[in-house]
Amino acid sequence: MSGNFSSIAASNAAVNELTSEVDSLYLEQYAFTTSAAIVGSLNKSVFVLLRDGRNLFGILRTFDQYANLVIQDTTERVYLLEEKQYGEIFQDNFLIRGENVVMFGELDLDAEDDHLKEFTKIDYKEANAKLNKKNEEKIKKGREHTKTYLQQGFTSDFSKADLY
Amino acid sequence: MLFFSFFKTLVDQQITVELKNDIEITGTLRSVDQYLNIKLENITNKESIRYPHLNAVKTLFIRGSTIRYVHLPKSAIDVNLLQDAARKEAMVSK
Repeated sequence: MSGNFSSIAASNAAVNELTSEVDSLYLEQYAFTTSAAIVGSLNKSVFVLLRDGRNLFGILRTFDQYANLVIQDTTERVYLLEEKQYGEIFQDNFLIRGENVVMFGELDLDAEDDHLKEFTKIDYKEANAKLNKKNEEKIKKGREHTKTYLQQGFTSDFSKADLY
Repeated sequence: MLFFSFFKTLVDQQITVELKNDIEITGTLRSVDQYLNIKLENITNKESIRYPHLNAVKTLFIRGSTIRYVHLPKSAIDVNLLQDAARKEAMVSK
C-alpha cells in the first residue's frame, strides 16, 4: 500500500514540476496584448472590414481588448468589383462590436484614394441595391454548398452573416 | 496558450494568413495576442482585386476569429520542439 502512495506522490510531483515548467513559458498577463496591437492605430485614418462585407473608413478613436472600436467621421463605401463602380455615404460615428470585425488597417493618407481612379462613382443607394442582390446570390450558393457537404457527411463553415 | 507562445516566436517572419473567405494576405508578423489576432506589416496582397483599398494599407490587424489557416516558413518551425511542448501541455491539462 505504502508503495502505491509513494508512486502517486511521485507522479503528482512530476506533474507539478511540468506545470511550473510550462507556466514559465507564458506571460503572466494577457489582458493587454490585444490593446497593444491596436494602440498604434489610435487617432489615425483606418478602414474596417466587417463580417457583413461593409467597408468603413474613418478615424479610430477608442478601442478595447475585444477589438470593439469607435470610428469617427465614418464613410461607408460599397465596391462593385465587376462593374468597377463604387458608392459611398457619410455615416458619422460608429461603435463596432469586436465580433463583427474581420480586419482593420491603417491607411496611407497619400495613397488611400489611388485605387478609386479605376472606379466610377455612383449613387450609394444604387450601389447598395446591386450589392444586396449579389449577396442574395452568394447566400443561395452558400446554402447549396452546405447542403451538398452535409449530404456527403461533411460540415460547412458557411454562414449567411459572413459576406466579406 | 501554447500556440500563442508559438506565434510569438514567429514575430518578424514573413507569413501568409488565409481567411475563411479564401483570401490570402502575406506580410511581416508584427504582433499576436491570446486570441491569435494577428497584426501584419508591409502587406503584399494578391487580393487587391477583391479589396482594392488594401493597396493603401500599411499595417493590418486581422481578427483571429476570421482566420482559417496561417502559412508559415518551414525554416521558422522546430517541429520536434513544438510536438514536445504540445505533449507537455496535454499532460498538464489532464
